[in-house]
Amino acid sequence: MRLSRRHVMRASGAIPAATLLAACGASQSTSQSSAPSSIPSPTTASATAFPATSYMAKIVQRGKLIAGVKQDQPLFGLLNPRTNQIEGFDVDIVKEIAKALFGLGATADPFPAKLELRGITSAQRIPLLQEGAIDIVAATMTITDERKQQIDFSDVYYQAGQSLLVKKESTVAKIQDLDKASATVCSATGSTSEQNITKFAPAAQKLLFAGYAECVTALQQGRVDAVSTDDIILAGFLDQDPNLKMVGGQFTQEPYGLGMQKGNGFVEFVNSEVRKMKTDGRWKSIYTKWLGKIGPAPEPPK
Amino acid sequence: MLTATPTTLAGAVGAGRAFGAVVTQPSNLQLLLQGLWVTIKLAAFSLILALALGVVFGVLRTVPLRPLRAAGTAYVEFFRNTPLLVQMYYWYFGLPVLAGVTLPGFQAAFLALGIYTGAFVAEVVRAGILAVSPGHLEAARSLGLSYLQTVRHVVLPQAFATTVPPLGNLAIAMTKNTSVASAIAVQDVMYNGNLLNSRTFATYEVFASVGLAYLSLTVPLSVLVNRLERRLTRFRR
Amino acid sequence: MDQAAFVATVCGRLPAVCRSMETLFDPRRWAAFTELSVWQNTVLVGLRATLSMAAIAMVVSLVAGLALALLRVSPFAALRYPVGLLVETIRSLPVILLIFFSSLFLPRVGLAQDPFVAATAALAVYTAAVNAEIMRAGITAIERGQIEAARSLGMTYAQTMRHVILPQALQRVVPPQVSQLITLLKDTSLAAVVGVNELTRKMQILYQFERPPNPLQALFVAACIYFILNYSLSRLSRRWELGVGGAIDLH
Repeated sequence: MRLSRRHVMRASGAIPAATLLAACGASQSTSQSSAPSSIPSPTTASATAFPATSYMAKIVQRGKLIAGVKQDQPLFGLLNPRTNQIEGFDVDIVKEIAKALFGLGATADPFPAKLELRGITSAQRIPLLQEGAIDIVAATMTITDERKQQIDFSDVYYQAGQSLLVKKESTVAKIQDLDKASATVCSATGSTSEQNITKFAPAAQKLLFAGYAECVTALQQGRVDAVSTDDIILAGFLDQDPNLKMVGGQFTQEPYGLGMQKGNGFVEFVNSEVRKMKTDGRWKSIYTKWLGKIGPAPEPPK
Repeated sequence: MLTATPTTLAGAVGAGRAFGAVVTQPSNLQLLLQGLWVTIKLAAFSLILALALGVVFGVLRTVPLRPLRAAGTAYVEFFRNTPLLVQMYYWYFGLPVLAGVTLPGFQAAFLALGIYTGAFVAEVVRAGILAVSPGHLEAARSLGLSYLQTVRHVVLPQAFATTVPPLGNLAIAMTKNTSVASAIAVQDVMYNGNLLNSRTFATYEVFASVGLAYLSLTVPLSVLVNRLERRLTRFRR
Repeated sequence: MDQAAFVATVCGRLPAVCRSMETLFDPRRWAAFTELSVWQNTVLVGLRATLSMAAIAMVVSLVAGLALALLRVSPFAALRYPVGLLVETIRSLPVILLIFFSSLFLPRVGLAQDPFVAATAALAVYTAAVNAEIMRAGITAIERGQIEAARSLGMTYAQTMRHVILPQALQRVVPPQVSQLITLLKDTSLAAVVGVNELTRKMQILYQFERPPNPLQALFVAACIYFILNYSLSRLSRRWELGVGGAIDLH
C-alpha cells in the first residue's frame, strides 16, 4: 500500500509549495497539458463559500480533490505510456469539478496541485467510495438501480450504449447476426456486456478476457467475429486501428454518471456543476477534444 | 461495464445462500468439471512435450560438442528465466504477427507450457546423466557385466533415483501452471471458475471448489512422488 | 550475387519467412523503444512495480516462512500438523488462483482496495508456504548427532535451534531461496491479470495502443528484462553455492 501510494503521489506531484509547482510544471514539458505558467491560487472567497461542515469544505480544507478514474480505457481514462499521466474525457470532467471547488480560472489546470487522480479498476469503484478513500468516481460507470442503493450518482454526463466492433470487411451488421453457434463474440469476464451478449445473441460462442484490449487484439487476429461492449469503449479502439468498424448501433442504454459516497451531500454541488458544463459549452468542448474523431458533439444528455 | 460487487462480508459469502448451493447446481458443476477436464488434457499433453524437449536438450547439454551444448544452454536459460505468462502471450498474440499462424488458445498454452517446463526437465535430465559416475561403469564392466546388464543394474537405477523425484515435482508445478492459460481464454477450470464467480458472486464457494479441483490433481501426484522418492532412496542404500 | 536479387529469390521461395522477418524488424514497431519517454514511463515504471512486489513479498515470506518452518519442526504435534496441512495446501494451489481470490476477497472485507496490495499479499502467502518447506528441509538436513551433542551439553531446545541448527540451515537454504526469488519475480507477472501496472501489464498497454500494434517487440523486450534479472540472480546463486556450500547437496 505504502509503495503504491507513493507512486500515485509522485504521479500527481503532490507538492504544496507554489515554487516547487512551477519547477514541476517545467520538468513535465512532455505532458500534453498546456497549463499556463502561473496557476491562480484558490480564492479565499470560494473556500469560505461552502458551509463549514459541508463535504466541499472538507475537500477544500484538505487542499485537493481525490478522483478515481480508469487507466486502461482509451478516450475516457488512459494511462499514457509516454507520460505516465492519465488522460481522457472522464479526467477532464473531474478537472472541471476541481476548478469549481477551488475557484480556479477557466484556463487553469487543477492537476496536480488541486486534483489527485487515482487509477482504479471497475471492481474497485464502489468499495473505494464507500471507504472514503476517494471523493468522486469518473470511470465509465453506468447508473443502475442496484448501484444507486450503494452510492450517489450525478446526473447523466454521457449516454453510452452497447455496440459491436468488427473488421472492415465483416458482413455483420447487428447483434442478431451473431446469434449462431459459428459466431464468436469477445468481451470482458464479469461485465454486463457479457451478460447482454447472452441476452441478445444466446447462440453465439463467447471468448472472455480480463480486458477489452485483449479482445481487440483477438479481433485483429481473426480469432473472434466481433467485440461487444459500450460503444464509447469500442470507439477508443476504433481510433487505434483503421481496419475496424463499429456496427449495430446502441442495442442497450448505458447512462454514465459520476459516483460519490452516499449521503455526504457532495452530489448536489457536483450536479450543479455538471448542469453548468452542459449549458455553457464546456461539455461540448471536452467532447470535441476526446470524441470529436467519432463525430460532431451531440446535445449533452439530459 | 463491470457489474457492481457486493461489498459486505455477508454479500461476499452469498447473502443467505447456503454454502455449496451454487457449485452443486448441475449446470455450474458441469461447467467446473468441463474446465477440469481441459486442465487435465492440457497438463497431460504439455507434460509429454516437456519430457520430449527436456530429454533432447538435457542430452545436448552433456555432449562433448560445444555449439550443441551452447544451444542446449541457451534454450534452458532463456525459457527458465522468463515468466510463463509472457511466453503464453507471445505464442498467442505474438506468433500470428510474426508467422501469420493463429493458434487456438489451447495449442498456444500447450506450446508455452511444454517449452517452459521442458527447460526445467532438461536440467533434471542433465543432472541425471552426470550423476552416473564413469567409475561405476568401468567397475561394472570389469566385473563381467554385459553392456545391457550394466545399463539395467547400474545406470538406470542411479539415473532413476536422481531424476524421478524432481520430474514428479515438475509435473506437479506444471499442473498448477496450466492455470495461467486462463489468461489467454483457454476454458480450463480457472477460467470457468472466474466465469462462474462473475455470474454468481459466490466467491468463496467458487474459489474453494476451483482450489479443490487443483488439489485433487496435485495432492495425489505429490503423494505418489513422495512414495517413489522414499522407495528410490531405500533402493539406493 | 546481387544482394537485392538474393533477397528477392529467397522471398519468392519462402514468402512466409520474409513476411515474418519484415514484421520482426519493422522499424515502426520498434520506434516506441527508441523513445526515452517510453523507457521512463512504461518500462521503468513497470519494472519498479515488479521489483517492489517481489521485494515486499520476499521479505514477508522469508520471515513468515521461517516462523512456519519452526512450527513444523516443533516438538508439539498440535502445532506441527495444522501448520503442515496449511503449508502443503497453499503450496499445492496455483499462484494465479491465489491472486484472483485475494483481489476479490480483500476488497470485500475492506482490507486492501489496491490490486497491487492484493497481488503482493497473494504472492507473499504462496512464497511463505514454499519457503517454509525449503527451510524445514534445511533444518531437518542437519544431522541428529549435532542436535544430540548440543542437548547433552545442556543447551535448551531453543538454544540448540538458535545457536547450532539455524546458522547452518540458513546457510544451506540460500541457493534454493534464490531460485524461489527467481520464481517469485516471474510470478509477479501474473498480477497483470488483476490490473496491477507491473512490467508485463505496462508492456501490454503499450503494445495494444501502439500503431501498428507491436506485441512481438514489446513482449520480447519484457522477456529480456526478466531474463537479465533472473539470469544474474541464478549466476550469483551459483557462485555462492560453489563458494560456500560447495559440498552441500540440497536437491
